[in-house]
Amino acid sequence: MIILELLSAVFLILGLFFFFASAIGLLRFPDTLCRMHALAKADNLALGCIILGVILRQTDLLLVAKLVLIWVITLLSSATGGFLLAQRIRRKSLQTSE
Amino acid sequence: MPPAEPSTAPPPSAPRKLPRAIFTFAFGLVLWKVCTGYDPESWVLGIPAAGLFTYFVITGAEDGPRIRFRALPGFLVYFLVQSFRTGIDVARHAILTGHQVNPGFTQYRSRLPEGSPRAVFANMISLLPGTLSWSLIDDIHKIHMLEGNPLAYEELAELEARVGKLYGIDLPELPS
Repeated sequence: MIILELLSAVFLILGLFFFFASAIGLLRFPDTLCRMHALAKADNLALGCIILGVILRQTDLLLVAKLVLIWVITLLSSATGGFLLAQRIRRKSLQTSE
Repeated sequence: MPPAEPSTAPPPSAPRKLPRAIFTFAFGLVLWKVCTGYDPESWVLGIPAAGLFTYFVITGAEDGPRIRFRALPGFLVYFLVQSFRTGIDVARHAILTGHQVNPGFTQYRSRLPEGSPRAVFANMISLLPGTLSWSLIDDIHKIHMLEGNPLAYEELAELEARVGKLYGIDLPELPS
């Protein structure tokens, strides 16, 4: 039990670290596309770590499945949303250059 | 010279739609159960919702290559490993390099067929360290890179091969 709680704590701290790194990237990267790298990647891993940390403290399988589903849906929407945002930026930069 | 057309599995015939519909309906029911928990009264809405879900999935599905469930576990492991590598890469750039990143663009010509495989590949490009899918026009993926990476082309080709394997597509050799 203590090992599970320790592992859970490790994943929760890792998750916080990646969220922190993502926020730092958002502030420090020079342009929108670079900032999207931080949002599309570090955030997903951070959420995955937090969810894994929470799952290790759960005994209810249905709740575990719900947490995994949340992560999967976030991953799908993040990848698709990131691609759509990048396309929007591309169109806007094309319009500006015309 | 244009790349050779990849060989794909033939599209499923009409009689195969029934087992697919049953599987999709069962999957819809499982999703409903996961979302709503143990409340039995929720099935009043859950069963019609799973039915609608099945209808939209079956009628909206394109005829083309489909994900092979047998290939899914291997792809998920690859996905998790790459996610971890990518997260560490972005964290390293954000904390250590910050303003000094040297972004740029590159292009990659996809060997995957049009439709779902190419869209999945475009989404998955953002999963690799330092690359972000920027546009997809015909078979050309334009990719934003956080930093020049000499291994990017090899990594993209490997990702493409894995997406192809997920769909049961044998990709032609890369042009040298």
